[in-house]
Amino acid sequence: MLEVRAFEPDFLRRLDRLALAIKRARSGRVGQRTLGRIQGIGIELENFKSYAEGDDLRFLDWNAMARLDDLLIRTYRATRQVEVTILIDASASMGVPKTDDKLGFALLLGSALAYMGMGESDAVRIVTFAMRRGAMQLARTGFYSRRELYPDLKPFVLGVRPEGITQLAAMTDQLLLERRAPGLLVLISDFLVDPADYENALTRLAAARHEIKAIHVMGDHESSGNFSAGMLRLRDSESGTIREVAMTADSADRYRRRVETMAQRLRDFCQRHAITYVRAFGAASVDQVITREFPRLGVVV
Amino acid sequence: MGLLSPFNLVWLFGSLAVLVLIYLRARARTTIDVSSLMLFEEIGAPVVQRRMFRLDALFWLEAAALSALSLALAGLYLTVLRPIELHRTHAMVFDLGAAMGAREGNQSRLDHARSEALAIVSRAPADTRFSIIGYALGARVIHAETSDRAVIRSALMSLEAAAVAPRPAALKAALIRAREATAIDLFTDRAPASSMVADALDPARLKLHLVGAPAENIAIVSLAPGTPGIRQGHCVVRSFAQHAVRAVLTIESDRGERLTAPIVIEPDEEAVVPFGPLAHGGLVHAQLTAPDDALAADNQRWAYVAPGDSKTRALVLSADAAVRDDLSRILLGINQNLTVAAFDPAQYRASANDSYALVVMHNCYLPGLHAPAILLIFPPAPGEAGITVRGTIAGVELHNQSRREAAAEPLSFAQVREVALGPQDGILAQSVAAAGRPAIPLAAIGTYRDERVGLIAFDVRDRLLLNPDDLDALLLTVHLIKRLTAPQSLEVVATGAYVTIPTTGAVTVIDPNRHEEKLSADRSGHAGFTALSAGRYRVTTPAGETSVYANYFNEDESNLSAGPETVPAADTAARPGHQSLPMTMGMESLEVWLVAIAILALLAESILLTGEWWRRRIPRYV
Repeated sequence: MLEVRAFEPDFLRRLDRLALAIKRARSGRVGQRTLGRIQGIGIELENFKSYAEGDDLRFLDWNAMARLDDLLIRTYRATRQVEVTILIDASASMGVPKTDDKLGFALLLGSALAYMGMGESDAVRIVTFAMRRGAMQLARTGFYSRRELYPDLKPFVLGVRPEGITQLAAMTDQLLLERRAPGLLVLISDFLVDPADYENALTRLAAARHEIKAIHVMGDHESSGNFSAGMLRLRDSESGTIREVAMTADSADRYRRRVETMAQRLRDFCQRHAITYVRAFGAASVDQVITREFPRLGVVV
Repeated sequence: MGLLSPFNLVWLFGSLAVLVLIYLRARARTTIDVSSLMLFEEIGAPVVQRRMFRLDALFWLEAAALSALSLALAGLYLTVLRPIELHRTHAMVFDLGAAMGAREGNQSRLDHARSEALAIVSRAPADTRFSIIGYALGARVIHAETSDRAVIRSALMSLEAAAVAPRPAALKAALIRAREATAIDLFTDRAPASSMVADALDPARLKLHLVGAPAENIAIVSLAPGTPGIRQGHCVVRSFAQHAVRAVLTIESDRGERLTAPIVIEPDEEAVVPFGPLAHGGLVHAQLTAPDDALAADNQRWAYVAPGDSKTRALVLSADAAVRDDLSRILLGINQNLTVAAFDPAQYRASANDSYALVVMHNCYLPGLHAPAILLIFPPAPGEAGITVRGTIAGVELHNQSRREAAAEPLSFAQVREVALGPQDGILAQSVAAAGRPAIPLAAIGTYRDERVGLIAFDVRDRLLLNPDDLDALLLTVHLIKRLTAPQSLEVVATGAYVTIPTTGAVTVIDPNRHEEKLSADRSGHAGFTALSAGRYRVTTPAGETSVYANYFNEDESNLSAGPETVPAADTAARPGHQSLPMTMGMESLEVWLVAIAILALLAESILLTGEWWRRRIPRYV
């Protein structure tokens, strides 16, 4: 139940100095989501410039002209409101192994990012997804843009249970049907799917002009491959498929190599598609991930 | 085979079911939920074939352990055929005759028998009850049945051989006393007759232990001291050895006379060693010394000869001339120094100068005669000298205790006086009790007014005493005369004789082996004992000390050259072991064996598991 920490004051206090990094504007509509620092209609004075033909005379600074006898146009910082969607994988694989509490770890990271986004008055929502009973189910919160509303997320966050199958492409289909303006998408998952699935999903999201940050979570035991020696009967948490393996030292090495290979492939794909990739292996490293890895990788500033 | 508690078989099946469940549980693979099997794609499939049952050594060991414990709980037993109360009672019968005292090296034959018996006691199960029976003159239960090993060993150590020949009747009586036992061991140096054993008990139950090896022995057969100053004495020595033996015969009297004669005696021959004549008479002792002589009891002998001279006179009174003649001959035969005067009592006139050492009166009694010893033969009624004659009985048979041959012709007397003896009188012989008539004394000796009075109740007319067919009567008469004329403080008897001592108080007897025994007088004022050892018995009474010398010789018993005889065929067949004992079906519990099997199986399983662990040594987690 790591997600409980997301609402602890001490934890939130350490997040106050962090903000989500947003690299580029995706929309020019006034009053709507823009990314980046652009001029536009706003309430916050940014600078003055000499009048040029075509400038909106409503922004002419009449006082300055009276004192300086020069035509100066006031420029304002445009009103920026970015929709931040934090997608959290809530499939059954996120609940296994239980000791790792991967889902709690993912919810903790997602909540922290949401808190940081709210601090910048960005519209933030949390969406969990999993394929359940043959249909992709997305559980969404509303958009919250004020930090004081952050506690309202608590019931949602604490109510998430791991269940169903991970299908990122199907999740993308559902998400794009919303036809939302491009924004920031933070995808938190173990990415234990066919690479074609996440590649399809991420490609399509990027094509929709969303800025994507992929956070790859795995548990301590899961990533280190600590299993009992001997004959093991393994059951896939999502498909229920059973397979027997002879767990030996060599098998454990093969397992660990497999984990690294999958993570490397995901990272390479993300790099090729300008997607920020964060490797968050082990819930014990949550503070390090938030305060060091997120800034280093440009997730937060 | 069966089960004492078939209900407990439920435990057996339950245990086996538990075994199967445990085994299946152990064989069941641990199912682990993993996030995705994609992570295990590079791990190969298990090479071990999956099986529900793996019938390996561990499985069989566990099955054996649980099965054994369950069967033990159910009380598995075997039905076996076993003798009824096999060896539960064990009688050990010992021959205590003189030959058992024969020495072979440092041990006697009895010591060998004792060693075998001690080994049997040691090997026997703890609950076996032993009894010890000895026989020589008679059978005696030395210790009744007991399972106390210390008591049995103590009783065995107390066994001593007597200087008498064992009587067949005693052996039979001993076997009869032992026949209730389930196992009987007879320790002897001579195999008993099969027929006699068969009469006493089932020969199959008797296990014969023949002890002893052929041994050499020389013995003093007889010692005749002769007549002091008149006739030589002689000592007869017989050899039972297989080769010539050198020995030294020493003869000495208590009056200081001594003869030492080295002799060489050939095998199975007799040597007659003359000596004397003795000058004074008295107690004569012959001692034979020979190397490697196995039996010591027959190497010495005592005899008493009256220290008389020609002035010693005896008077014989009888109306029958033949009787006077017979008695005179007998008296002269006993002591040639005697001067015997024989008279018809009707014609005898006593004078004041007449002094007799012995007066013999037959069918008469002259009250005026006084002598140190008076012998009354067939005394007339009403009797005198402390004797009361109640009447005359015809056809009385002598009860001869020493007669061995049961088939021998018994000695019957035509007429016998029935007399009542005084309390101090000792009976030397009595009649056989008949229907409606108790035994009556036939020969007795006592004291009356400081005179020693002897009694012979039967009539000696018709040449009874000199009739070769009636030798017992002569022997009894000679014995009585010798007793009568011998000092009261000295008595020479044969071993096995019952010695009676007149006394008014307690009697202490110290036998030749220095064992002391306290005796008390019976109602007739006598104390008695049986002289079972050869040598001198010291008998102390309130009146003084009496020495009783016991002589031993028995031709059969002294012959040790034959050694243990071959066991009769019937006995041999019976020896290996109690085949004909009554058998019964008994239960042999297997609980101990089953528990042992279970423990061994568990130990083996532990060893296998330890070995496997040591061989694999794979870390618990990878």
